[in-house]
Amino acid sequence: MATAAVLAFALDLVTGPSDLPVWDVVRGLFDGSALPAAQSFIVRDVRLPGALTAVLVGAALSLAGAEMQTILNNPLASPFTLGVSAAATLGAALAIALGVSIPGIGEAWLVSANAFLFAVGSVFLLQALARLRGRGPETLVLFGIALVFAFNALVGLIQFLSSQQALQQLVFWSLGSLGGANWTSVLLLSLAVALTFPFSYAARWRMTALSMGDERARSFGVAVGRLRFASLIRVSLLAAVAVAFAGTIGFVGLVGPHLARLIVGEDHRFLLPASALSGALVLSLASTASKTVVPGAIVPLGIVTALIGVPAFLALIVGRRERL
Amino acid sequence: MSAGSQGAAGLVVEGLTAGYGREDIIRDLTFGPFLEGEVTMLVGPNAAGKSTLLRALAGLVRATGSVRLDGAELTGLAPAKRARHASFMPQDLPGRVDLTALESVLSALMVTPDRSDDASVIRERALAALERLGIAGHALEPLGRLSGGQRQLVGLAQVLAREPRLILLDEPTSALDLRYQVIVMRLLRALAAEGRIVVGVLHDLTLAARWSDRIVLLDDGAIVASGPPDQTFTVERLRAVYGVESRVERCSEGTLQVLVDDAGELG
Repeated sequence: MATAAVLAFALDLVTGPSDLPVWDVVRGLFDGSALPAAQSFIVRDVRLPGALTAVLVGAALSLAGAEMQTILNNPLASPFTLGVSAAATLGAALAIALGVSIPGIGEAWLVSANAFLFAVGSVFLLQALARLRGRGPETLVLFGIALVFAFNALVGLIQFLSSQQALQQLVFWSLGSLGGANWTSVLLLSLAVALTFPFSYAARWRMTALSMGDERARSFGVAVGRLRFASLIRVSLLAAVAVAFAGTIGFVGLVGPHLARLIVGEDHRFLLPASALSGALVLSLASTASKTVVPGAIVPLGIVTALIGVPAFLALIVGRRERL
Repeated sequence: MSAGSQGAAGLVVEGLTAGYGREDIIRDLTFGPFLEGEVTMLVGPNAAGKSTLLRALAGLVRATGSVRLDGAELTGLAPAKRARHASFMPQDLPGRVDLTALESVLSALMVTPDRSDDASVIRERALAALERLGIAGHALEPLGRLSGGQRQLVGLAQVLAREPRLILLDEPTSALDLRYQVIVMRLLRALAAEGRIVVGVLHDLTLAARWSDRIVLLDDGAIVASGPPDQTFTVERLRAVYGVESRVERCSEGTLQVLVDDAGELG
């Protein structure tokens, strides 16, 4: 799977609207002066950060999805199940349509920062609500769904009130895109993945135990409530960063973990790294497809991911009925 | 274990009240000591509080009162510490979890690992537990491909591998055929003989009578009777608690049998 992910990354790197020959891309990567300045810029500051962002966003969402499916004990869960993406969209909508901003954040980062803050805020809101009634998976899902509806309604309200131009911008943002990728976003995404993955991996045995049920895990000595909360924080961080830089890209967080589970099973020693890899693979392929399906244009990534992801996901469900 | 600490050896429970949400299912139970080497089975009709009592002993439900093991108080211990003393086996192990039997036993050991043990020692322990239950041949098979009975044995292997002082089992034979029922009950006796305290919930009174040292008969959240099977199972008590007409007899081998003749009227 690692090999496949690297290959997909390479494929993503050599495709793009500017039709550079493969060899030029390779030369441009390793030798900054080998190409004319414009082409060198495309390779080093457009293609490379774009492809890396695809890898990181895919890995982040898929890893978050794997954790979410375990802590909610539900194979249909994704990082977006509990309202993280809806909250991020609300944050972005506020920034785009109404210019609501956080002091001290530059214009360029406004949308991303807002999306991030709202996504993280939604998790704390969810935890506060769940604390009222215990932290079982059912309670979390019910509150999460309520939050999704509430955020969506607010986004609808903003869309209703906003100007034509802002509306268009908002729709484009919510379709998901790697167009805004640059080295800063790569750096922040890497940081988020590098910060969360060690904690995920440290919890691998507890997560495996949790996959066999709350009671069993608790009788083995797992503090299930704490494990869930810590995992939700990781999920929200990963999902919020991914959404902030790439919009709401559907299905990676759902299909990635399932692909990984098909290959390595539920043992989180293997499932967590495999999910990150499969997510990177899926999104690199989707990114490549988004640049090649319509020649000369880039179809929004969220659309491509869903169009590829839905049939793949249906095939998984049909093929593995007994697991659901 | 904690020799020298004050109080009696074994499991001693005082004033235990437990339940879910705001509702108390069992109220102010006091019993014990249950000593090492002993197998105790909790019996009673549905909703008598057997499972709640078992979960309260395991620290899995809201509970007040005192649960002492060899003089050391378990109530209020952090889950990881408590799990070193007591292991609880739920009734069923979900088959849709994509783990092999061995992986599932490994995770039972690795969630609270002993720092002194390295990976190969832990793997050996997991395999030995599966071996003892006769399912080592299925170690690398996914749980989903095992039968319900085999999965129950894997669940038991998880508990076995953890080597707890107190073993708590919810219906350990519910998915097992006749042969494995006997194999598991005999194993529980052997585990007790190795110096453990075994407490379980059983529905089958004859099975409980045959293999237990002590029966705790529960009804409506309270203990009706507690003692050796032949003193606990009486026709009058079974009528009062279960609402059945029964005979409690010894078979030609001298083993106690509970025979139910009539269920009485509904309602």
